[in-house]
Amino acid sequence: MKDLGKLKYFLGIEVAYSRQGIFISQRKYILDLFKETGKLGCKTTGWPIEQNHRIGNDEENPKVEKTQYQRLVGKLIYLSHTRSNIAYAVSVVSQFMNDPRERHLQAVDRIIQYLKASPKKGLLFKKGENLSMKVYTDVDYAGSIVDRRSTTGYCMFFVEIW
Amino acid sequence: MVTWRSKKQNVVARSSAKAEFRVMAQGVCELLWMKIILDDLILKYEAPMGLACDNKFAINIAHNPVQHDRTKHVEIDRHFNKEKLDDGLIAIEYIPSRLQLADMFTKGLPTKQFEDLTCKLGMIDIHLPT
Repeated sequence: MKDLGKLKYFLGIEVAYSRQGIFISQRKYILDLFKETGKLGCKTTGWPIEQNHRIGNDEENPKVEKTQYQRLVGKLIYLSHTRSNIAYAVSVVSQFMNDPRERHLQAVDRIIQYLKASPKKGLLFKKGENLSMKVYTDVDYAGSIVDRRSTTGYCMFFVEIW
Repeated sequence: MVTWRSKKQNVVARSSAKAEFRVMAQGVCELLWMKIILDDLILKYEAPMGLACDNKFAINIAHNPVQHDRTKHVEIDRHFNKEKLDDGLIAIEYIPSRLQLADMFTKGLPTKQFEDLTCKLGMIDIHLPT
């Protein structure tokens, strides 16, 4: 076995080390995504999904190409590893994988436009003195307009945030 | 931030407290799982693990041993949470919605709040001066 040194790049995830801690990002993966979708010149936006988006089945609008849609959403799911702030938006668009419509593709485009605004962002795991485990839980009651199920959301931290 | 999740629940909740309970139970599971990992890494963590929630009603029921008629349908999650609370493994605290970091995983947010929370999650661009 050979020691290849510190991890730098693995499965599209870049890893950087600094005095502050460990930083992971998928900058190259994001740029490749723009190239593949031909969105290099698209406009940018500051958030990945609108408030009160009310995205439902959207059956009256035209169907879009299914495999293409699934590929795109699959890539976005992988991206939410280091871009967890798109996790909710991605979970919304992935609910319509089996019958994607125009409205859903628009939502996917919106996420890509958001990524375009900040392709270099990643997750920083800060060095800390005290370990303090805390999980924040939240729920959006009856958030889905399709079947009125609620949406779960939680995140765990090892440092005090507030 | 180390772990997170955003998921549509697989049952219909009849009250917001029930939905909240479900998430709390999932949060507790996540904490217990993380504790096992820390144990494997030989990292000691004795203090109760924190669980922050912005629904006072749900917190009250979690602490209150009296079984109300209206909370019957959340029995399993309720008992699970209560058991871990009694064991001193977790401590539930109330946080106001404006400090709720998990907001981002349940709904679309206005730009300002979205950016603030993103930053708090530790999601930054290291190439930019902060």
